[in-house]
Amino acid sequence: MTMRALALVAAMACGFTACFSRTRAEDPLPGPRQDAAVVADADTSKRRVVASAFVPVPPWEAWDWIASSDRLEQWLAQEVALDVIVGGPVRLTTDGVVTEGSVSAVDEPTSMAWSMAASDGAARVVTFRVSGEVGGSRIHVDEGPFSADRSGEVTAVSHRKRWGEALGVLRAAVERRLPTEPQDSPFVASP
Amino acid sequence: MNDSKVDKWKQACEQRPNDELARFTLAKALYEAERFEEAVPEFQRAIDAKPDWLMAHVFLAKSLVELGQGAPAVVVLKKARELALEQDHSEPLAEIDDLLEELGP
Repeated sequence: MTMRALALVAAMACGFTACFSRTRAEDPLPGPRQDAAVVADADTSKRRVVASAFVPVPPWEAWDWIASSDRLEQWLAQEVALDVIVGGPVRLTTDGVVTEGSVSAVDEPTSMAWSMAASDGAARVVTFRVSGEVGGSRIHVDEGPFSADRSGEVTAVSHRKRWGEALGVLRAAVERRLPTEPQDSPFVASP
Repeated sequence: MNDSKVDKWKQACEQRPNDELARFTLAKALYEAERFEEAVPEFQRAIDAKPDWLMAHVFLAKSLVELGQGAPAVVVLKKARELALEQDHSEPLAEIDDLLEELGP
Protein backbone atom coordinates (compact mmCIF):
# COMPACT_ATOMS: atom_id res chain seq x y z
CA MET A 1 0.00 0.00 0.00
CA THR A 2 1.43 3.38 -0.95
CA MET A 3 1.81 6.25 1.51
CA ARG A 4 -0.97 8.05 -0.31
CA ALA A 5 -3.32 5.11 0.11
CA LEU A 6 -2.41 4.80 3.80
CA ALA A 7 -3.10 8.50 4.30
CA LEU A 8 -6.47 8.11 2.57
CA VAL A 9 -7.43 5.15 4.79
CA ALA A 10 -6.40 7.11 7.90
CA ALA A 11 -8.39 10.14 6.76
CA MET A 12 -11.46 7.98 6.10
CA ALA A 13 -11.16 6.37 9.54
CA CYS A 14 -10.96 9.80 11.19
CA GLY A 15 -13.88 11.00 9.13
CA PHE A 16 -16.04 8.02 10.12
CA THR A 17 -15.16 8.54 13.77
CA ALA A 18 -15.95 12.24 13.56
CA CYS A 19 -19.22 11.51 11.79
CA PHE A 20 -20.22 8.90 14.36
CA SER A 21 -19.22 11.18 17.26
CA ARG A 22 -21.16 14.09 15.82
CA THR A 23 -24.29 12.01 15.37
CA ARG A 24 -24.07 10.69 18.90
CA ALA A 25 -23.48 14.15 20.31
CA GLU A 26 -26.17 16.04 18.40
CA ASP A 27 -29.02 13.56 18.21
CA PRO A 28 -30.84 12.24 21.25
CA LEU A 29 -29.44 8.90 22.29
CA PRO A 30 -31.80 6.02 21.73
CA GLY A 31 -33.73 5.06 24.86
CA PRO A 32 -34.89 1.57 25.78
CA ARG A 33 -36.57 -0.38 23.00
CA GLN A 34 -39.76 -0.47 24.99
CA ASP A 35 -40.96 0.48 28.47
CA ALA A 36 -44.18 0.92 30.44
CA ALA A 37 -44.75 2.20 33.97
CA VAL A 38 -47.38 3.50 36.36
CA VAL A 39 -46.49 6.98 37.58
CA ALA A 40 -48.10 9.41 40.02
CA ASP A 41 -49.04 12.99 39.20
CA ALA A 42 -47.15 15.21 41.62
CA ASP A 43 -50.05 17.60 42.18
CA THR A 44 -53.08 15.30 42.21
CA SER A 45 -51.44 12.01 43.26
CA LYS A 46 -53.61 10.34 40.63
CA ARG A 47 -51.95 7.60 38.62
CA ARG A 48 -51.06 7.56 34.95
CA VAL A 49 -49.63 4.90 32.71
CA VAL A 50 -46.73 5.97 30.56
CA ALA A 51 -45.26 3.67 27.96
CA SER A 52 -43.10 3.96 24.89
CA ALA A 53 -41.61 1.89 22.14
CA PHE A 54 -38.82 2.49 19.67
CA VAL A 55 -39.76 1.77 16.05
CA PRO A 56 -37.16 1.76 13.28
CA VAL A 57 -39.06 4.09 10.96
CA PRO A 58 -39.06 7.87 10.58
CA PRO A 59 -41.62 9.92 12.55
CA TRP A 60 -43.98 10.48 9.62
CA GLU A 61 -44.26 6.69 9.20
CA ALA A 62 -44.59 6.20 12.96
CA TRP A 63 -47.53 8.63 12.86
CA ASP A 64 -49.38 6.28 10.50
CA TRP A 65 -49.17 3.55 13.12
CA ILE A 66 -51.20 5.67 15.56
CA ALA A 67 -53.48 7.49 13.12
CA SER A 68 -54.50 4.92 10.51
CA SER A 69 -57.19 2.42 11.43
CA ASP A 70 -55.51 -0.24 9.26
CA ARG A 71 -52.28 0.12 11.18
CA LEU A 72 -53.96 0.40 14.58
CA GLU A 73 -55.78 -2.86 13.88
CA GLN A 74 -52.41 -4.56 13.68
CA TRP A 75 -51.50 -3.77 17.26
CA LEU A 76 -54.15 -2.01 19.32
CA ALA A 77 -57.57 -3.58 18.72
CA GLN A 78 -59.21 -6.05 16.37
CA GLU A 79 -61.42 -3.35 14.86
CA VAL A 80 -60.61 0.34 14.88
CA ALA A 81 -62.78 3.09 13.46
CA LEU A 82 -61.77 6.70 13.83
CA ASP A 83 -61.93 10.10 12.22
CA VAL A 84 -58.66 11.87 12.95
CA ILE A 85 -59.99 15.34 13.60
CA VAL A 86 -60.78 17.08 16.89
CA GLY A 87 -64.22 15.86 17.91
CA GLY A 88 -64.06 12.88 15.54
CA PRO A 89 -65.24 9.52 16.87
CA VAL A 90 -62.93 6.70 18.01
CA ARG A 91 -64.13 3.16 18.49
CA LEU A 92 -61.97 0.19 19.46
CA THR A 93 -63.42 -3.31 19.44
CA THR A 94 -61.66 -6.43 20.69
CA ASP A 95 -63.40 -9.74 21.39
CA GLY A 96 -66.73 -7.95 21.18
CA VAL A 97 -65.76 -5.42 23.87
CA VAL A 98 -66.27 -1.90 22.55
CA THR A 99 -64.47 1.16 23.89
CA GLU A 100 -65.64 4.47 22.51
CA GLY A 101 -64.55 8.05 22.70
CA SER A 102 -63.52 10.97 20.60
CA VAL A 103 -60.40 12.65 19.32
CA SER A 104 -59.66 15.53 21.68
CA ALA A 105 -56.45 16.88 20.12
CA VAL A 106 -54.49 16.38 16.91
CA ASP A 107 -51.13 17.81 16.01
CA GLU A 108 -50.15 15.80 12.96
CA PRO A 109 -47.60 14.20 12.77
CA THR A 110 -46.53 14.67 16.37
CA SER A 111 -49.33 14.01 18.81
CA MET A 112 -52.94 13.00 19.20
CA ALA A 113 -55.21 12.58 22.21
CA TRP A 114 -58.34 10.49 22.63
CA SER A 115 -60.94 11.03 25.38
CA MET A 116 -62.25 7.56 26.10
CA ALA A 117 -65.03 6.13 28.23
CA ALA A 118 -63.31 3.16 29.83
CA SER A 119 -65.02 -0.17 30.44
CA ASP A 120 -64.95 0.54 34.21
CA GLY A 121 -67.01 3.69 33.56
CA ALA A 122 -64.19 6.14 34.10
CA ALA A 123 -63.28 8.84 31.59
CA ARG A 124 -59.64 8.78 30.60
CA VAL A 125 -57.40 10.48 28.09
CA VAL A 126 -54.94 8.54 25.97
CA THR A 127 -52.24 10.71 24.47
CA PHE A 128 -49.93 9.45 21.74
CA ARG A 129 -46.76 11.32 20.88
CA VAL A 130 -44.12 10.62 18.25
CA SER A 131 -40.53 11.78 18.66
CA GLY A 132 -37.50 11.26 16.48
CA GLU A 133 -34.56 9.17 17.67
CA VAL A 134 -31.34 7.95 16.11
CA GLY A 135 -32.35 5.32 13.58
CA GLY A 136 -36.09 5.71 13.99
CA SER A 137 -38.80 7.12 16.20
CA ARG A 138 -40.33 6.60 19.58
CA ILE A 139 -44.06 6.27 20.09
CA HIS A 140 -45.05 7.48 23.55
CA VAL A 141 -48.37 6.65 25.19
CA ASP A 142 -49.78 8.37 28.26
CA GLU A 143 -53.09 7.22 29.73
CA GLY A 144 -54.88 8.58 32.76
CA PRO A 145 -56.03 9.53 35.23
CA PHE A 146 -56.44 6.46 37.41
CA SER A 147 -57.53 6.99 40.99
CA ALA A 148 -54.84 6.71 43.63
CA ASP A 149 -56.78 4.15 45.68
CA ARG A 150 -56.30 0.41 45.60
CA SER A 151 -58.74 -0.22 42.73
CA GLY A 152 -57.23 2.57 40.63
CA GLU A 153 -53.79 1.15 41.27
CA VAL A 154 -54.89 -2.32 40.17
CA THR A 155 -56.52 -0.93 37.01
CA ALA A 156 -53.43 1.14 36.20
CA VAL A 157 -51.18 -1.88 36.60
CA SER A 158 -53.39 -3.94 34.28
CA HIS A 159 -53.34 -1.11 31.70
CA ARG A 160 -49.55 -0.86 32.01
CA LYS A 161 -49.35 -4.56 31.20
CA ARG A 162 -51.72 -4.16 28.25
CA TRP A 163 -49.83 -1.20 26.80
CA GLY A 164 -46.57 -3.11 27.21
CA GLU A 165 -47.99 -6.05 25.29
CA ALA A 166 -49.60 -3.86 22.63
CA LEU A 167 -46.41 -1.91 22.03
CA GLY A 168 -44.52 -5.19 21.70
CA VAL A 169 -46.98 -6.23 19.00
CA LEU A 170 -46.58 -2.81 17.38
CA ARG A 171 -42.79 -3.13 17.24
CA ALA A 172 -43.06 -6.59 15.70
CA ALA A 173 -45.63 -5.33 13.16
CA VAL A 174 -43.41 -2.40 12.15
CA GLU A 175 -40.39 -4.66 11.78
CA ARG A 176 -42.38 -7.12 9.64
CA ARG A 177 -43.10 -4.27 7.23
CA LEU A 178 -39.45 -3.27 6.84
CA PRO A 179 -37.93 -4.19 3.51
CA THR A 180 -36.08 -7.50 3.70
CA GLU A 181 -34.61 -7.39 0.21
CA PRO A 182 -31.87 -4.94 -0.81
CA GLN A 183 -33.53 -1.86 -2.23
CA ASP A 184 -32.46 -0.07 -5.39
CA SER A 185 -30.42 2.94 -4.42
CA PRO A 186 -30.76 6.14 -6.44
CA PHE A 187 -27.02 6.65 -5.88
CA VAL A 188 -25.86 3.32 -7.32
CA ALA A 189 -26.30 2.42 -10.95
CA SER A 190 -28.12 -0.87 -11.49
CA PRO A 191 -25.93 -3.54 -13.12
CA MET B 1 -55.24 -4.62 1.94
CA ASN B 2 -57.77 -2.01 0.82
CA ASP B 3 -60.16 -4.55 -0.69
CA SER B 4 -60.09 -6.69 2.43
CA LYS B 5 -60.76 -3.58 4.47
CA VAL B 6 -63.72 -2.75 2.23
CA ASP B 7 -65.11 -6.27 2.65
CA LYS B 8 -64.68 -6.11 6.41
CA TRP B 9 -66.51 -2.79 6.75
CA LYS B 10 -69.22 -3.79 4.24
CA GLN B 11 -69.93 -6.72 6.50
CA ALA B 12 -69.96 -4.41 9.55
CA CYS B 13 -72.48 -2.12 7.80
CA GLU B 14 -74.70 -5.09 6.92
CA GLN B 15 -74.67 -6.17 10.55
CA ARG B 16 -75.12 -2.64 11.92
CA PRO B 17 -76.93 -0.59 9.25
CA ASN B 18 -77.46 2.38 11.59
CA ASP B 19 -73.81 2.58 12.64
CA GLU B 20 -72.66 5.80 10.99
CA LEU B 21 -69.02 5.36 12.06
CA ALA B 22 -68.91 1.97 10.35
CA ARG B 23 -70.49 3.63 7.28
CA PHE B 24 -67.88 6.41 7.29
CA THR B 25 -65.05 3.88 7.67
CA LEU B 26 -66.43 1.83 4.76
CA ALA B 27 -66.66 4.99 2.65
CA LYS B 28 -63.06 5.88 3.51
CA ALA B 29 -61.90 2.36 2.67
CA LEU B 30 -63.62 2.67 -0.72
CA TYR B 31 -61.99 6.07 -1.23
CA GLU B 32 -58.55 4.68 -0.35
CA ALA B 33 -59.17 1.79 -2.78
CA GLU B 34 -59.96 4.43 -5.42
CA ARG B 35 -63.50 3.02 -5.78
CA PHE B 36 -64.93 6.53 -5.89
CA GLU B 37 -68.30 5.66 -7.47
CA GLU B 38 -69.03 3.35 -4.59
CA ALA B 39 -67.57 5.75 -2.02
CA VAL B 40 -69.92 8.63 -2.95
CA PRO B 41 -73.21 7.03 -1.78
CA GLU B 42 -71.55 5.73 1.39
CA PHE B 43 -70.24 9.19 2.34
CA GLN B 44 -73.68 10.55 1.52
CA ARG B 45 -75.31 8.03 3.87
CA ALA B 46 -72.85 8.98 6.63
CA ILE B 47 -73.81 12.64 6.11
CA ASP B 48 -77.53 11.76 6.13
CA ALA B 49 -76.99 10.13 9.51
CA LYS B 50 -74.85 12.97 10.87
CA PRO B 51 -75.30 16.16 8.83
CA ASP B 52 -72.50 18.09 10.58
CA TRP B 53 -69.83 15.47 9.80
CA LEU B 54 -67.11 17.67 8.37
CA MET B 55 -64.68 15.02 7.11
CA ALA B 56 -67.50 13.06 5.45
CA HIS B 57 -68.27 16.22 3.44
CA VAL B 58 -64.59 16.72 2.58
CA PHE B 59 -64.14 13.13 1.41
CA LEU B 60 -67.45 13.20 -0.48
CA ALA B 61 -66.25 16.30 -2.33
CA LYS B 62 -62.85 14.73 -3.04
CA SER B 63 -64.57 11.61 -4.40
CA LEU B 64 -66.75 13.77 -6.66
CA VAL B 65 -63.64 15.59 -7.89
CA GLU B 66 -62.03 12.24 -8.72
CA LEU B 67 -65.14 11.37 -10.73
CA GLY B 68 -64.91 14.64 -12.65
CA GLN B 69 -68.06 16.05 -11.02
CA GLY B 70 -66.73 19.49 -10.21
CA ALA B 71 -70.05 21.33 -9.82
CA PRO B 72 -71.57 19.08 -7.13
CA ALA B 73 -68.15 18.93 -5.44
CA VAL B 74 -68.16 22.72 -5.10
CA VAL B 75 -71.62 22.61 -3.45
CA VAL B 76 -70.39 20.01 -0.95
CA LEU B 77 -67.16 21.93 -0.32
CA LYS B 78 -69.09 25.12 0.43
CA LYS B 79 -71.11 23.24 3.03
CA ALA B 80 -67.87 21.72 4.38
CA ARG B 81 -66.39 25.21 4.62
CA GLU B 82 -69.35 26.37 6.73
CA LEU B 83 -68.92 23.37 9.02
CA ALA B 84 -65.16 23.92 9.33
CA LEU B 85 -65.76 27.53 10.39
CA GLU B 86 -68.52 26.57 12.82
CA GLN B 87 -66.39 23.83 14.33
CA ASP B 88 -63.17 25.86 14.27
CA HIS B 89 -61.15 23.34 12.26
CA SER B 90 -58.36 25.27 10.62
CA GLU B 91 -56.51 22.44 8.84
CA PRO B 92 -59.51 21.05 6.92
CA LEU B 93 -60.48 24.65 6.16
CA ALA B 94 -57.16 25.23 4.39
CA GLU B 95 -57.64 22.03 2.39
CA ILE B 96 -61.21 23.01 1.49
CA ASP B 97 -60.08 26.46 0.32
CA ASP B 98 -57.32 24.89 -1.80
CA LEU B 99 -59.84 22.54 -3.42
CA LEU B 100 -62.32 25.35 -4.06
CA GLU B 101 -59.56 27.40 -5.65
CA GLU B 102 -58.56 24.48 -7.88
CA LEU B 103 -62.16 23.99 -8.96
CA GLY B 104 -62.58 27.66 -9.80
CA PRO B 105 -65.59 29.95 -9.31
